[in-house]
This record gives sequence, C-alpha cells and structure tokens, in this order.
Amino acid sequence: MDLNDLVKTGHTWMHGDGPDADIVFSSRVRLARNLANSIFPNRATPNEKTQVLERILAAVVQLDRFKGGLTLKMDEIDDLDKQFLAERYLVSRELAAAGAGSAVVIAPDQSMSLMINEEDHIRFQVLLSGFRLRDCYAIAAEIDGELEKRLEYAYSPRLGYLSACPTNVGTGIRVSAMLHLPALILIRQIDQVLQAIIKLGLAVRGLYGEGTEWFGNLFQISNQVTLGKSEEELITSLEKVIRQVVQSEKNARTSLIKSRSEALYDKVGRAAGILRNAHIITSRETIDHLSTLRMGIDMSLIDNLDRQSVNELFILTQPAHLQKLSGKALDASVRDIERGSLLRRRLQNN
Amino acid sequence: MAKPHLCDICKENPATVHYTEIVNNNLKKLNLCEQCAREKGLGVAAHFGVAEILKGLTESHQKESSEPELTCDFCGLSFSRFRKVGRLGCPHCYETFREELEPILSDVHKKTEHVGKSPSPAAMIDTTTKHLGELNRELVRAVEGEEYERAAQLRDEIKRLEKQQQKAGPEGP
Repeated sequence: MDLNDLVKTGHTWMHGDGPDADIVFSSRVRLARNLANSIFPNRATPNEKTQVLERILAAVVQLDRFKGGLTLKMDEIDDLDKQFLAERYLVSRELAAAGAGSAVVIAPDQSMSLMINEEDHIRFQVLLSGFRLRDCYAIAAEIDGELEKRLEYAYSPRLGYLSACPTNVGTGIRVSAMLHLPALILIRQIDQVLQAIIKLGLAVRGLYGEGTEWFGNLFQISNQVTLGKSEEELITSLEKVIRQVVQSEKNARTSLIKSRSEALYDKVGRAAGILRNAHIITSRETIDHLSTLRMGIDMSLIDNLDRQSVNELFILTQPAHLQKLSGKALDASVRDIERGSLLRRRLQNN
Repeated sequence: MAKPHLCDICKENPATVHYTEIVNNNLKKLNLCEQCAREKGLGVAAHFGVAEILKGLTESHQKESSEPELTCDFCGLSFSRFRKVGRLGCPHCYETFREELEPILSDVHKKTEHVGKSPSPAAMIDTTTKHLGELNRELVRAVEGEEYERAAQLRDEIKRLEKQQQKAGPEGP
C-alpha cells in the first residue's frame, strides 16, 4: 500500500452507515500520549525527535490494527501529499506543517491513524461512520493498551496522562462527532442549539466557514475538559447532548416537510441541477450544494443517489484531492473547472 | 459587502481564512491571510488559540515576585516561556510548575485531579523499575566522568521515582 492507493480507496467513514448516519456523519475518538522522560516535540532537538520517532514506530508496527498499513514520514512527502492527508482527516494541519522527526501511521481501512511528534509524541484517532462513539473508544483503548505494553507513557497518578498542553492533560481524550444540521439552519434555530451546547461546557465549531456564517451545515461537537472526569463520563455526557441535537434536527426536518415541502424539493432539485451541470464551480459552492443533496437523500426527496457517493464528493472535490486525481498541480481557477468536470462525471449518470 | 479585511497578524495581505472558536462561552474570531494561517498550522483539526487563552489565564494568576524565575531542570523551560508558547517542555514540567499550573488546570477543567483510565499497574511498575535501572547506570557513568551537575540531577530523579514507586505500593497506583 502506498499513498497513491489512498486516492482510489474510500475511507470507512465515507460509507454513510451506522446509527443515525442521516445526521451524524462520523464519530471520532482521539487520545494524546507522551513518552516518560522525553522532551515534548515543541522543545525537542531534531535528534531527540528522531529517537522518539524510531521508538514509537518500532512499537506501532507490532500492532495488529496497523498491520498492512502505511507509514509516512513528513520530511519524505511533498506539500501536496500533506494537504491531501489533511483533507482526509488522516493528519492534522499541525502535523502537515511539521518536517523531519514527525510521521503518521495509517491503518489499511483508514479508520485509524497515529501521528508521531505532532503537539504530543503520540496522537491517534479512530474515526467511524455514524453515531458510534463507544465503538471508537473501544478500539482506541485497545490500541492504547497494546502501546502501553511496549512504551513507557508519561503518566502521573495525580494528573493522569501528561500532555504538552495542559488543556489535554488527564485522560488525553477528545471525543467528537460531526453533525449535519441543514434543517436547524433553515428554520433558524441553529444559534439556540449551539448556545445550549456551549453552555454545557462542550466545544462546537463549524467545519467550514466563519462565525455566524457557517457553510456546508456541518458542525463538530467535542468535549473540552479532559481532567477530573473519566472517559466513560465524558463519552456519556457527549452522547446525551448529541442525542438531543439529533432529535432537534429530526424535528426540524419533519416540520419543514410538513410546512414547506415544495420549497424543499425545489432546493434539493436545484442543488442537484447545478452539481450535475456546472462547468466552473468553487469549493464553497460545491460544499453548500453537496450538503443540500445529502439532506435530500436523507429525507428521501431525491432518487437514484446514495450517501456514499455524496460523502466521497465532499472529500474528492477538495483542492489537493483534485490535484492528486488529475496527477498534476493545478491553480485555483483550473481546479474550479476540474471540479465541475469531476462532479458532472460522477453525478450525471444517476 | 464592505472592503476586504486585512490579516489580523501581518496586517498586509487580505484575510481569506476566517476562524472562529468558542471556548468557555467566549467567541474568538480571527481573520488571517493564507500564509499566516498556514504558519499557525490552522485548519479544521488545529487547536488554535490555546496559547492565547493560557496566556490570558496565567496573566491573571501571575504573582508579583522578584524571586529568580522558575525553570524546569529536565528540559530548561521557564514559566514565562510557557506563558508565551502555551506548551510545556516535558512531563517533568508538571511537577516543576505544580503550583503555577494548578489555577490554570482549575480554570480549564474545573478540576485538578485525574479520574479515569491509568496504565495497567503491572506496566507502570515494570517500566519504572526498568527506567530506574537505566538511571542508576547513567548515574555511575556521570560520577565516573566527573559530571557532577548531571549526577545530582540523576540522583534527584531516582529519588523521586523510588518515592513514587513506594507510594504506589505492591497494589500499584
């Protein structure tokens, strides 16, 4: 398996299956870990970083979960490949910006990736389709247990797992879910919902866009606190909140179909029309219409389209993906043309 | 629409990356040019603003003092440097800056003690013992090489670990 194989293969979370997958696109658990008696990456010399990298890699290659996967050192791949990995959520932007001494190990089905020498020595994530926080955590805990047999973690009985930033100390866990909330936006209730989430001490942010001007209607909800609460408590409280948000979105969809069904069909039909026929289209416009199309599929307002194809397009139409697919560097204006052509090819026949 | 905003950092290029994060009920907005955003490692997964938030927090907890600045023996990080970068230098910093970090942890997490998963006791004791062996060997080498400063550091570290191991006892922590 090499990096170019990733371009052709879908990520498991693109499948669009799992509980509540009509609203919860994906679930994710990330653990941050560091090695005992080793300088954190931000302060380590290149030599210290390389030593840590080699120690961790030696442990990770022994794990069943990463067998047959892909190890990529950040100084051995080019900027386009780094951006490509970030667009797939396999690495963070921070790791993509790192150089020698940093690496990522990706499991064959891409549902797990482990970053070495990002902000912490080790950060690994499990990302699954649908509302499956507990499944994510079970896998993450298993990987953690296997790593701990092979590496000595920086751990304090008082403070838990020690991280480079005090905001991650304790459990070192970040539990999050990506929610698609187009109906709450259409009925203008999104602000109330987001405020309520924040009041409960959770973090929420738009996947695309800024401030009150979100686009793509995708939101990530995650825990903020990592110390003084157990993994179980953190997951349970996040699950509760997400369940309520899912219910609000469901109610909003029901009320829309009752009161404004023609307008809804029109919106979905127009989005499909543009995506199937446009020749020049920006990333933002694409994401907006893909969101509408996904809502149309999830509410059975449109036939002959499946979730997975639309999910894939969210990722494939991103800048680095377009360039990897066409096999060459393209500037923004050429990308808009290439994006139009990709969308027409993929959507016209169905 | 109004004319385009300039980047909040370089104040030169037009801001094309708009970033919003809500932390502890505060909305934080940043408008950056592509280059500054990249330098900040900004993206969907980036935890941006942590340094800024910590800076704000620690400033309010800062004590007036003329004492020499506290520095971590293991990695050399000073507390004022931590305030700037928002990242600690090594696991030992948590002990070195224990008092200074306490109010920060309490602000961020509302708690100051870990509850939850721990490495299995067997793994902990085993690795601590292994590590103690390594440190003792290194201590002998340091004394032989007349590196007394290093030897003193190693001695303190060994003492600390032994104490920790005793505290953990046969049942583990």
